[in-house]
Amino acid sequence: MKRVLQILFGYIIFCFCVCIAVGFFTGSVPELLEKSVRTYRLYKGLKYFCNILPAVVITGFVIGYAVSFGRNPEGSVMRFSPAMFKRYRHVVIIGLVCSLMLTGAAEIGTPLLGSRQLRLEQMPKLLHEYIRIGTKMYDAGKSELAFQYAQLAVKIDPKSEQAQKLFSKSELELRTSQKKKQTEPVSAGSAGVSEEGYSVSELRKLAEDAYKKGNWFDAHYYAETGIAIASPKNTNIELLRQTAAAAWNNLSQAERPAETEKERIYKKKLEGYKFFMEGDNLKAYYVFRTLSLQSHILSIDPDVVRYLGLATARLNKENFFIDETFNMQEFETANDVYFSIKHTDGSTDIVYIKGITPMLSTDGMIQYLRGLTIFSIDGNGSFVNSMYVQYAKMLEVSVSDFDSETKVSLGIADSTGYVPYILLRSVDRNTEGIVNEPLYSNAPGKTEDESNHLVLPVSYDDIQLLQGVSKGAELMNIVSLFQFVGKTVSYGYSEEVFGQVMLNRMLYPLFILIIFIGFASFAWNYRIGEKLMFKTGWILSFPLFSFFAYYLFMMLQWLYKLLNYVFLGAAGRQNALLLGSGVYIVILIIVSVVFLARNSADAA
Amino acid sequence: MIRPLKKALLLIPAYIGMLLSSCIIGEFLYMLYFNTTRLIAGKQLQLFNKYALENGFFVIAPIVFLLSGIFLSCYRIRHSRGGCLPVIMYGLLGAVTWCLLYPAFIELKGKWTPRLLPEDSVLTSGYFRREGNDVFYLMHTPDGSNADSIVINESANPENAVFPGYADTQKMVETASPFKDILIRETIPAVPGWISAALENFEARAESAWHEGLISWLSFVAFGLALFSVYAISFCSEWRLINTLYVFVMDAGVMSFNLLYFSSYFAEFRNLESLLCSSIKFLTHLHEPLLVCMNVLFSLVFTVIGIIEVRIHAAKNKRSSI
Repeated sequence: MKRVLQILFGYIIFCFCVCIAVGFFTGSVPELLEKSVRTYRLYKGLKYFCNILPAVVITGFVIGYAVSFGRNPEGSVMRFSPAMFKRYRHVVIIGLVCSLMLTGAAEIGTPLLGSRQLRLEQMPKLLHEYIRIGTKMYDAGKSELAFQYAQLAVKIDPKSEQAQKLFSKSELELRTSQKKKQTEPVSAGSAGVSEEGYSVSELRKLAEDAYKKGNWFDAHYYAETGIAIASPKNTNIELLRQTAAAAWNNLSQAERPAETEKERIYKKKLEGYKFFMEGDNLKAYYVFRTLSLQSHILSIDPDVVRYLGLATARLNKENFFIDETFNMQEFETANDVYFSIKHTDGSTDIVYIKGITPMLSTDGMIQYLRGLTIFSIDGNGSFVNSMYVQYAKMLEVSVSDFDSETKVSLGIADSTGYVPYILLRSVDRNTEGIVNEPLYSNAPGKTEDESNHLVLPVSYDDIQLLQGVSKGAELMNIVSLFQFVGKTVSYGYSEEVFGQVMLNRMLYPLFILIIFIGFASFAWNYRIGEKLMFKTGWILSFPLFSFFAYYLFMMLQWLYKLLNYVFLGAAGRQNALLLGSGVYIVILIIVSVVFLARNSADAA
Repeated sequence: MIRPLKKALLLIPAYIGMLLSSCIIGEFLYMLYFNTTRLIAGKQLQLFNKYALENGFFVIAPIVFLLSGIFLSCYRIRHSRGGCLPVIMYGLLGAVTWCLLYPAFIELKGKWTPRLLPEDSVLTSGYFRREGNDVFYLMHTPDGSNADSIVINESANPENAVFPGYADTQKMVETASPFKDILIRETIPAVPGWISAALENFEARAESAWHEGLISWLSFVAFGLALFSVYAISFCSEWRLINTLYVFVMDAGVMSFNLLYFSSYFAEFRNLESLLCSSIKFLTHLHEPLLVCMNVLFSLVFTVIGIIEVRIHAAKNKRSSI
């Protein structure tokens, strides 16, 4: 065993060095950052190594065992001798080690190196983008964002002069603005911006307190919110109604023509407040936003701050801001994601997303969808309608938030836990009227509800899986692939293809082990003579053997892939893995028996 | 004497076993490949196919004949010794293969009436299929060469990326060739074109040589002679593994030469043929005389090397026994 390991790992190390040398000294590299060139070449060499590793390991294994068996052939005069069982144990151990190595190289090594190389290739572009966006933000006075981009740029390339320059100036600007903020008086009257979490009695108390302080907006708002959430039997409801009415009377005094600036502002606030209470959150938002931008004093006015916050919070549930999607394209993690949604009435929706950018927010993961198209056809394949939106914002919502009727109407399965809720309309943060709305197109004679948000009747997790699918089954995470196989057809993907790739990847270690035990029999049959000296010239046969092993392994892999289709065809997707495992275990037993049946007399 | 004779005689069943098992395994693989190439996403994979079974035999058998020399050589390397008799038997088996079995096979193939190729399944609807830059979602099962589909053009402006259109299913099938469905084609590499082209080339040459008469056939058999003579190289090393490698390398060399002989790489070399024929008139009767001469030369070189190596080893063994 020691000799086998010496030859096997000696040859692996030799080939590793050759591959690294080839990676470093041959071929050209794409445009990279100066610091990345060496790493890129290292990855290139490692990728070569992963590519030829099966042939290298087979060569080391066969030659190693051919030498080892040849030097110690004793104890195997008869078939199934104890000596052969002992050798079998060693073969299985080494075979498992080799299987682990090759599976690791195929499952982790090659995809990881590929993605790392891609990342290095993208770095110059990314650095350029970070500096460009950072500078743009700096020029727009958004020093905090500019500083964040500068930090990212410096992290990518600390030697970049442009990045360093942006970093210094944005840091300076940020510090200055922070100092300025600290010196500004903070209004004591600005309470929390959300009405959530208060009980009716708490709301009554807040309303009464606000009324006593002469804060009619808050008094009315808390009282109205209390009324809205209180049950008719609640003892607080009458007091809340009284407070609301009294506060409203005070608010209504501003209905008379405004004469002073203070009155005009008050009237404007009242207008915004009315929109807010009527549920026109977008208009309310713009009224308070305009007031907030009007002057520094107004921007810290407790009423403006409070109702701008509340309106924004409500607005975020219906729309999102256009500026949220600026420069998103550069950070997309999935492109060209498409899938079908088949409904029970026979109709189908084809969903296509050009690019997806996930962002971690305080509300969990949100995803921005670029170029979202939903194309609907009926059961006969005729066009019903289509919807396109430049950018959409996807949130994860719990199905428990929907009642059973809504679930049925949306076509959400009972087993679904979370679904994607997609906001289709985006608005400008400051200017009313600048809106990105979905474009609907209906078949002649058909009218559809043109909504600004939609719920896809699929699991939110499946959307995540489909993002992986866009990269191809071979590159999908094995766990995701396993989860997706059963859902392929419903999303317009082939069960055969994904099932076969799943089998290819899951049974790979077993397949490799079979190959190695088979090669152990070959090594026994063609072992070196017991007293034969190993000639130096024979070392030259190693690469030659690897050349044949490379093609032989490719052929075996091809056969393996074909067989996996047979398992799918014979047992269906659900039992294919079981059947495949069973067949490969039987083959493993056969090759093991063949190996154990070797004896030293059979060569004579 | 009995032991070498026994070894020599044992070669016959071993060889028959090798040919039969190779044919059976080859048939199995061919059928598997044939059925997979015809698989359409969403349809059941056919596990058995009479057409593939019959056709497979006529595809696999010539490959087995070509590789029979390697199989037998590997067997002999593994079960070496036995003196001259097994070597003579090896030669006899080679002769039987190329002078009896191969011609008999060609005759049988001539008499065989191929079954009609099973009708192709049509592409299924409800799946995304890529063809060029576009992804097609077939709305109906295609009737004819076009099918209504929803097209996703990934390189178009996102606003116009999805639109109703037609999928040229005929073109899709052609792109997927030799598979019928591009989806299946994406997961299994097709047999490389050069391999199938090479096999077809050898087969066509064998058939035309047989139909052109005995001299032409004997000219073609020179190729078989070269392939079988490679065995002699297996006496070069004392380690059987190295001998096996030699056999593989040399066989690959002989096959490559016979394949590339008609390519542009050997155009100038082929011009020597007229020079050769003008010097040796007898050669004009042969089919591709230069190629025949080269194959015979290969076999002579291999045999001479083999004999020299055997003599050297014998002398060495004698010395060590003294």
